[in-house]
Amino acid sequence: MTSCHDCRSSLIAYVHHELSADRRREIARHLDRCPECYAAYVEERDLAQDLIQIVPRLGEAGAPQFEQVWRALQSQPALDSPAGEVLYPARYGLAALLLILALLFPWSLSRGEIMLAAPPTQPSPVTQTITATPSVARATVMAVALHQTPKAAPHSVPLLSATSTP
Amino acid sequence: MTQPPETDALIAGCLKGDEASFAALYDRFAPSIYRLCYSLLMNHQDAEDVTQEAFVYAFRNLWRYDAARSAFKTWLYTIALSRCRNAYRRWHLPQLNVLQLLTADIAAPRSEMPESSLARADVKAALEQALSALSPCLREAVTLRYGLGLTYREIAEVVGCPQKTAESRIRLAHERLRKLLQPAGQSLLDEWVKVFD
Repeated sequence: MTSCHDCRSSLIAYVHHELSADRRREIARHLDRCPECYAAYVEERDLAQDLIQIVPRLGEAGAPQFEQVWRALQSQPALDSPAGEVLYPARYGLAALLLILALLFPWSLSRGEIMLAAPPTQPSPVTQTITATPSVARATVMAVALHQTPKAAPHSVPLLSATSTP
Repeated sequence: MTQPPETDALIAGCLKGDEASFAALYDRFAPSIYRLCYSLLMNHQDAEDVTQEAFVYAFRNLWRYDAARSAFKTWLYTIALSRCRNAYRRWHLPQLNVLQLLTADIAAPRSEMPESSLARADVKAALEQALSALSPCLREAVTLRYGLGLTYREIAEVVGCPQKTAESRIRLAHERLRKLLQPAGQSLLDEWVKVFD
């Protein structure tokens, strides 16, 4: 069952014979029953008929002469040819290469920054057991402390109490 | 795509560089291309320029045309339409005031309308004003449908939109035109038809 809204939305296509046979039958059946939609159909049909007569007459005369077009054509470089198509893969290849370079360039820069920003390697902790007297042990700890970087200092702290004997 | 075999023969001749084929192809399609351009631009000089530009482009790129994809006329209309759109952007066509249309002299009663070239010019001007009052996309749809007799599918192909959109643009154009013409009554259209007949 076609509603009035449905019918109105298809009226112009109906007037232009642009509907399928089934849809056209549905609309025609509705128009037979509904006087309002039929009045709308008559209005659309009349407007379409008027436009069919009038619009094609706009700009009826006045196309430029062929000679003008031919002169313009001749004044430009030689006609393009299918050979031009050969250039397309090369253009695409060049574009792809530029794209890859554009992507890699920031990456290579940031890689250098990563290397610069890497933390300094810490010295390996001293693992040898000190079995000397307290004075020797104190001297050894001081010597070790002098040779270690400030960051590595915490690793040497347990050394004081670990192995020295009174 | 089905199209007259003569068109295919002319295209083949053009691809071989035969000037007579170019001329014949031009003569066959130039009037409709010019009408399309004129209906969209509403100016003889602009329409002439765009027609020439469209044909020069089409002839230079004829080898790109693929008969399996579209009819030659559709391909040409697409080229011309895109150039007309460039022209709208370049020249910023002034939108005519709807009031101008409503106050046009064309609404004179039929009995007073002289069957003269002056009256014909007035009618034509009034119609141009009515079409100019439409937005460019509605004007394109009306011109392609009524000026060139394209189907909705062909309109969609030329304009580059779905078929349903082409259909709704025609519907909207009808609505707008009816609203524009309503104050003047049906007599306005009757006068147009009579003067053109």
